[in-house]
Amino acid sequence: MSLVGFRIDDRLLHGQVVENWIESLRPELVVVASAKAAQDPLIRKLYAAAMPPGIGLEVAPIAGAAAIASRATERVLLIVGSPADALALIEAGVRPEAITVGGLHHAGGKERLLDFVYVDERDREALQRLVALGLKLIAQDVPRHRPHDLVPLVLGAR
Amino acid sequence: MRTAELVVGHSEGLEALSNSGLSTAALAEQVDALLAGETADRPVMLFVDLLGGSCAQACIEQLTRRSGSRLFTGVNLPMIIAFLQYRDTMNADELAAGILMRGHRGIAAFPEVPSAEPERQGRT
Repeated sequence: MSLVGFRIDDRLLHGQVVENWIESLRPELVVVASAKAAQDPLIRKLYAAAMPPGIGLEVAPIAGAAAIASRATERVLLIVGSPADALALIEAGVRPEAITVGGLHHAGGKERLLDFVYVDERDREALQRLVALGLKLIAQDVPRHRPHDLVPLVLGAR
Repeated sequence: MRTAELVVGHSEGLEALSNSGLSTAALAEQVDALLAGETADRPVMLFVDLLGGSCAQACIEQLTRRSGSRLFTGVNLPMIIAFLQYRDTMNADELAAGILMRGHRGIAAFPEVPSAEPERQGRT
């Protein structure tokens, strides 16, 4: 497996990814790991239509996505919708060099870490587990914006 | 929307939303709230900018709730104008065809770019 990106974003495949990250990371295969998206035929159709020509797409639940990413020979960009799903992928054997949080949006009861990163208790715990596993955690919405080190924000006192 | 209103003379039945700062779920809730007053048997025409964007994802659920509804991506002004002009006189399928045709026809470059046919559909 050649993992060129591992992204956590509650919007999954969306404008910033399709218009920017695919251009910048040049994956050959995009794997969207989401149980919800995987069972939604309309969303799958929309994602397929949105992909630039020549780039493969798989939309699968976490276990399936981990298997696809692990046996892929292409350059893979993995996208998950939450820190908990990211942790599940890591526990299923996916080994990225770093994890990029691209967007976790504001919702009731969520605490702000950055303008585009809000977390609840469950998110924070999963992110802390990822740090404990030795993973680099970066926050970056689009390639031309500076990446932030999320580790101190995730571990920091409230 | 204001420009469309200037061209057609009214903008009845046209509403706008922004996804700024919203998760897909939160935007989908706003779309829901906006359509709450509409009866389920009236088709809705949804226009979004990016084919791969979160707005498209937030709107696509509506298609299963309201038959005859359609989601249009890559929205441009001619599409909105076509909607306003035809919405009272055409059925949903005719309206959708009119919107698409006018949208496509509205995109051009001068001088012409002969080799720039858009490619569609990623490999899946």
